[in-house]
Amino acid sequence: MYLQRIIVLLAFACITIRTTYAQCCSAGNPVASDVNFTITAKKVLKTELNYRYSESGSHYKNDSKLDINFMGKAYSNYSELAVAYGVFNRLEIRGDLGYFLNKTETYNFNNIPDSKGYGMGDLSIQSRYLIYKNFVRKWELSAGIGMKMPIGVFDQEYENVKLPINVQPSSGSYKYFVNAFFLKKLNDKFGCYTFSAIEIASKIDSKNFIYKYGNLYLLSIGCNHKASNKFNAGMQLRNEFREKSSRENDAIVDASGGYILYCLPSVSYNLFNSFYLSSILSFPVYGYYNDIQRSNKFSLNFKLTKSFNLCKNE
Amino acid sequence: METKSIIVTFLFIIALLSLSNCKKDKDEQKDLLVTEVKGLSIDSIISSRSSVKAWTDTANITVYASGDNLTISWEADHGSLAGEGKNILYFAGQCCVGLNTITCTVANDTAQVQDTIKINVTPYSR
Repeated sequence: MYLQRIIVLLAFACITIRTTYAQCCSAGNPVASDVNFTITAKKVLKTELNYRYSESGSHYKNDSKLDINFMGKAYSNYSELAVAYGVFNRLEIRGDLGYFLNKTETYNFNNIPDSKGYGMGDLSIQSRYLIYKNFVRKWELSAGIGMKMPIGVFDQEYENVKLPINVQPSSGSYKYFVNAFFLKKLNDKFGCYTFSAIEIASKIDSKNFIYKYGNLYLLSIGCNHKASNKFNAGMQLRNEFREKSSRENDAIVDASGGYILYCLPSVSYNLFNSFYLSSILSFPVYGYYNDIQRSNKFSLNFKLTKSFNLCKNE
Repeated sequence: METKSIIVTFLFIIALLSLSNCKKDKDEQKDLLVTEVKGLSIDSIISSRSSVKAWTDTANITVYASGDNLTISWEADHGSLAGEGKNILYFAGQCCVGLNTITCTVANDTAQVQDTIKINVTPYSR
């Protein structure tokens, strides 16, 4: 039983959802969310510390690569603190808060200086509920609902010039999401899962800026293997479909949205007790971008997870 | 326990919806542009181009303002700005195709004035 718990924890520790945008006009911290799907046990506090490096790739017109010399590299260094607490045996509340160490865009034209933003991103809070768990057949189904709040920096300036939206740390938009997770353990060492999510963004209607990000639909399938008592490896395929964004007067932004298939290999290591270190690489294997957009090249994520049992002495 | 979980989840949803309605009132009030107050004014904003091609062209924008101890700020609703002070550079990507607004704010110790200029961004082509 204990071994099974470990496997499930490790498996889920390796599963991540990142709502990744293509780079052009990617607002703020779309990558803020790092969701762990385990329903935290009652009175257990789970903490996670994330670090992620992301880098942009080439420009694409639909699924064909384009050489656009104007733009240089775009990259970001991002950290995130997540806390989840088991309110009841089947219910957890979770919060994620991110901070961009930098979010940088470079240019290869006319000696234009780099645009660099930094600061607090969005705050994500959600509630997740374990709908059903079958101990005999070893499967479970859970669902979550939550929102992202743009509490971070969205109007950052440099020398009194407002930075472009691409490098603003916060998305500036309230986003609402629902998700569902299904796990089937085939044996003590091997498990498969699916994860699906929908994220709906509200319109940003500020003084000088009107914009609505396209809604996101996500479906992941993955598997996880416990190679040893301390080591765990996983693989996930994630399919993201994003609708087109819109701007003032509900004009559609043609160069937004699309379909991207990501591959996410992951490893996890139990350092000691309930202390885990995991790493996830994410890269697109296929993308269809509406009009012309910059793709994401890869992101590399490191995560430390530690759980605290707050009812140990009861 | 089941009932408690459902109630907590329900309350959680209500709390989320309430939070999202707490937008600042100022967002709903579009300020009218004031280009001149006593001792401070924006005379004109000039751009080297009225139209730029995405990921290809740049536009030099200059503000002509009157007053003492001026602080000049810039903001674009879509696209990017580089530089500082009276002269800045505007450029944009494919996602910014359309008519975009660049807002210039000139301020001194006592007041501030604003004016805008529109620049059309056309699609990228080789």
